[in-house]
Amino acid sequence: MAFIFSLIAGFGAFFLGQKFFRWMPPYPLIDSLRIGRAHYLLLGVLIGMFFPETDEVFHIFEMLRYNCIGAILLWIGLQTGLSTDLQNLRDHGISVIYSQTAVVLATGGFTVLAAFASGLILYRYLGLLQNLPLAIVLLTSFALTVRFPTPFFQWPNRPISVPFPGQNLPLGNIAAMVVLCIAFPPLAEDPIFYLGNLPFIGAAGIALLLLGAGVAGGIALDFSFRSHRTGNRALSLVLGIVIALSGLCQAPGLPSLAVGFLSGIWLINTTVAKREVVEFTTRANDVIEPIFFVLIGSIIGEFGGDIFFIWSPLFPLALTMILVRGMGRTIGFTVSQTLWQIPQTWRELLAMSWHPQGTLSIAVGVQAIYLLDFQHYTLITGLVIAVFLSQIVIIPPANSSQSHT
Amino acid sequence: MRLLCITLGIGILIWKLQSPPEMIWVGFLLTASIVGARLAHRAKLPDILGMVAAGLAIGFAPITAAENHQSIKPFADIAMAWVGLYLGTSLSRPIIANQRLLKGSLYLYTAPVLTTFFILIFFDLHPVTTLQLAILSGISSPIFLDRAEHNLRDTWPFSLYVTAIGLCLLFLTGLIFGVEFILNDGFDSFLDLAADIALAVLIGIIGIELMYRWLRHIHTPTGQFMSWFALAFLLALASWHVWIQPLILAWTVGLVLSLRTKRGLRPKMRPPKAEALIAFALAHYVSGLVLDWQMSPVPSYFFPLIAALILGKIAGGLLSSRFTLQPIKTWLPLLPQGLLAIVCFESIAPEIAPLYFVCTGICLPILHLLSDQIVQKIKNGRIRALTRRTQAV
Repeated sequence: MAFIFSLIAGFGAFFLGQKFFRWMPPYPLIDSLRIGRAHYLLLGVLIGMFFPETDEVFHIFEMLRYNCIGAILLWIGLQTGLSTDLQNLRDHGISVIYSQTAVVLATGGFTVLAAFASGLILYRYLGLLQNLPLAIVLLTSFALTVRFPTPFFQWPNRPISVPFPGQNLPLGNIAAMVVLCIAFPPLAEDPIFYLGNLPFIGAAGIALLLLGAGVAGGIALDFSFRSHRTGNRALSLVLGIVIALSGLCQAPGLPSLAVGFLSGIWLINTTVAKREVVEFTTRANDVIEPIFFVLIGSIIGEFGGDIFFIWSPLFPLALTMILVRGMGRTIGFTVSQTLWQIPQTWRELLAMSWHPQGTLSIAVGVQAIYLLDFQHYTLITGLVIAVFLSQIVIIPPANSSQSHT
Repeated sequence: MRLLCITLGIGILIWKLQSPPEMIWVGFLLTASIVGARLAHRAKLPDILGMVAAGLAIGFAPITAAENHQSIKPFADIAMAWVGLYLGTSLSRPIIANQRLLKGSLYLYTAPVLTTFFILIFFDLHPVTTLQLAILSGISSPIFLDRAEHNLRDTWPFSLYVTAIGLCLLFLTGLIFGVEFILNDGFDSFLDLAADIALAVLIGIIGIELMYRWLRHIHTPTGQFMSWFALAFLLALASWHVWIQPLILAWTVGLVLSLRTKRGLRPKMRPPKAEALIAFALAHYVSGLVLDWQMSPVPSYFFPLIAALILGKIAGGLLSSRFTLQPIKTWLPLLPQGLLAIVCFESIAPEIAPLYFVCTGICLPILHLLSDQIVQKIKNGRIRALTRRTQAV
């Protein structure tokens, strides 16, 4: 009964929000959160708060949620992989690549230092039980991610300062995934896995398994797109392969995001139907992302409904993450401005340094649930809050209309 | 060939993994059923038949175990609820109000029911079981029909109509005999049940009204899919609470939602035909049937039941052709039965449900296809003869 009430409350709030949105266009900050799909997260939080763990069907819901999130993580990884089109990267100037690399190095370095310094806090207050190095890797990946492809919120009737075409290059996201792919095998909690009689032991074995799963997934997806490029059947096949692949990731405890990323790289660089694949997956994303946010919201709501006393470290954690990331990016872009004149103006520098985070950032945070042991989900909740806070950082728009959105 | 390799690859992985996770099973069923549909399409058979065949093959495969099948049931229940919603919302007030369709459907439904009933009373069956089996025999399979593929526009409404009549009658008989059974337990238990049903109906009415109002504000395909998916999920949850098949519950909710509107749900309000969910639901259900199949002796009434069903449907079709001027191609596709019928049949006679499905869900569609081709050939022969005669003149 409580669940039904939670659903009615959740849908009621959603319905009111929708009505309100039609009646009055939201303020740009709120609109930025809407673009980031925060409203679906809110719906999930409401559902999670009222769904008691004592309910007889709760364990079924939990199993569904765990598996669905795993599959969606793989999907998000795949999306990131699809943005790693080598031809596209080559088309951008080498200075853009250097600039982004400087930013990635500075942000990554800052985050690793901060995470090492706060290792005890992670254990004592943020619910981590073991494997600090892997937690640091995930935090670093988290800090490197950016919202892509919608970077900034829209100011009504005001031009938006878009610094350089290179800013839309998701190198941060690619770097985050590369860090995860490289750092995971030596830090994996369970480095032994048997596929039939075939053993995968140690870092090399796990790396081989990760690479094999990713490439096999990419080949399977490529094959499926050769048979059906669009339509219902293509979606069904792609979903089938993604779901099966996420199941395969669960067995040895591989990060679904990394496997999806490798599959995406293989697919986008080998397929003959590049444009169709990207368009198709983007359309499917419109449905998959909301489901992801509702499910994540239900985890946060469930956690928040039970353990209110752990709320105290949440906002400091979120603010720390934003500050560390912002400082790293600012230093990186300052170096880049000095060496390669990217970005050109201070306003562009400000905008690029405080570039908001997005779905991939949340996915990296949530990936921790599958790779690490937690006492409670304070860390995950803090990271999700950090993402949404990063989306409401205001950079005042330029008065001149020299550039377009 | 490539898709077959992918499916086999996933199958080998399942075989090699010591305890395969749930999601790999879900993906395997989904991919296999879609590959089955594609192969069936190439063989000029209905796609649904390919999905069913894939489910059968997986059920018989040595890698399939009952525990694995059971572990992914929650996913299948959501997919089933989606199928139910899709079928339930397809029937609308304009279809029900159409006198020609009503007349045709009554012939199409009544003939098999009467034939089956009068044949089954000669066997040693409980009267209620006889009645329920007879009521079931009139049901057709809308899922086997594709609106886009059938040129004759009345086939799909006929199928929806006879299915709705059958399910409503089945519900009524269940209610009447269920109440009688519970009254034997005592009046208190009856009151408890009545209170529970009243509460469920109240929640249902409020929920459906909310959903209807919600759907009116949907403007994007994303919102449309999300809303129906949420409803399917909710119905699956409800079905776990109340122990009703999600397919039946969702069909009822879909029907009520559709009847709430004057002209049926607008295309933007209807649940989209998500082939992935339909394929998964079918493959999972059929593989489950195979796993439950026990080699028990076939009861004596089984083959007469199937014969009565076929003869009755043909008789009903001929009557419908005679009185509503429907061509033979309109009612011939109504011969097979699908998910809705088998789900109900399973609750009446679970021991022979797999065999019943093989006969009505696999053999009858093939029989229909053969007969369709024969009808087509006769028609072509007549046209040729007519052309020759015209040329001679």
